[in-house]
Amino acid sequence: MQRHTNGAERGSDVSFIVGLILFVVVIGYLDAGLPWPRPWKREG
Amino acid sequence: MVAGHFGLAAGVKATEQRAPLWALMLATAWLDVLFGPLFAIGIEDLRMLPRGGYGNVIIHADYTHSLVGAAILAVLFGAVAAIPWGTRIGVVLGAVVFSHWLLDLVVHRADMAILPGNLGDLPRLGFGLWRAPVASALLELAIIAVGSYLYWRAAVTRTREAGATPVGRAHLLGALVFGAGVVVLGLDLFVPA
Repeated sequence: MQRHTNGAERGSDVSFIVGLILFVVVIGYLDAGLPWPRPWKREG
Repeated sequence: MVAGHFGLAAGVKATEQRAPLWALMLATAWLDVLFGPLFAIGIEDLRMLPRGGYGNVIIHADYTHSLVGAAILAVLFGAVAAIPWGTRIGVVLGAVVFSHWLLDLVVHRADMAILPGNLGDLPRLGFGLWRAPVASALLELAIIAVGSYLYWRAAVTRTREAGATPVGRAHLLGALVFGAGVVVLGLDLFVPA
């Protein structure tokens, strides 16, 4: 992750923020609709 | 490196299917998420090299991206995740947090401390692939491609086995993971410095 020392955005700042939104929020939300095994169902 | 981390998390989802994808994605970015506020208050630092742009940076993230610091943060992340989801998912998510340090080790110049705060002034680590930005970008692209393929294949298989959800959704998500990875890599490469 790269940042300006003056706080202005650069390529990696933009890509990091866009990446977080796309992968964690959007794709993470859509993925939850697939029939994956649920995490809270403990094995055994 | 930004997009490569997300690509790796997508690949992990294919083999550890009980782990929520959003948690895997958050885990893979966790060291950078913590870097943000520490940078803002001046505890961690970076210096752009004269050329600027993709990979032309020296990062002194001596707490979040030190070897021992990253290991501690990975254990903490995994321990918290294990509370609701069990030990196995906790271990997987902790490993994904630490994978961030391993991938950064490949691309960073020798700017990664071993101990938090660079205690003892030990030699800094980093193989420096960022000196060859084309190779570094191709490595990221390869991780995205492999990770999204593994995710897509697992999503389609799981959907067909369940027989309830249309398979088209799995195809769409596979394409979204790959496309988002390419977009994020493109932003990293081409947004002006």
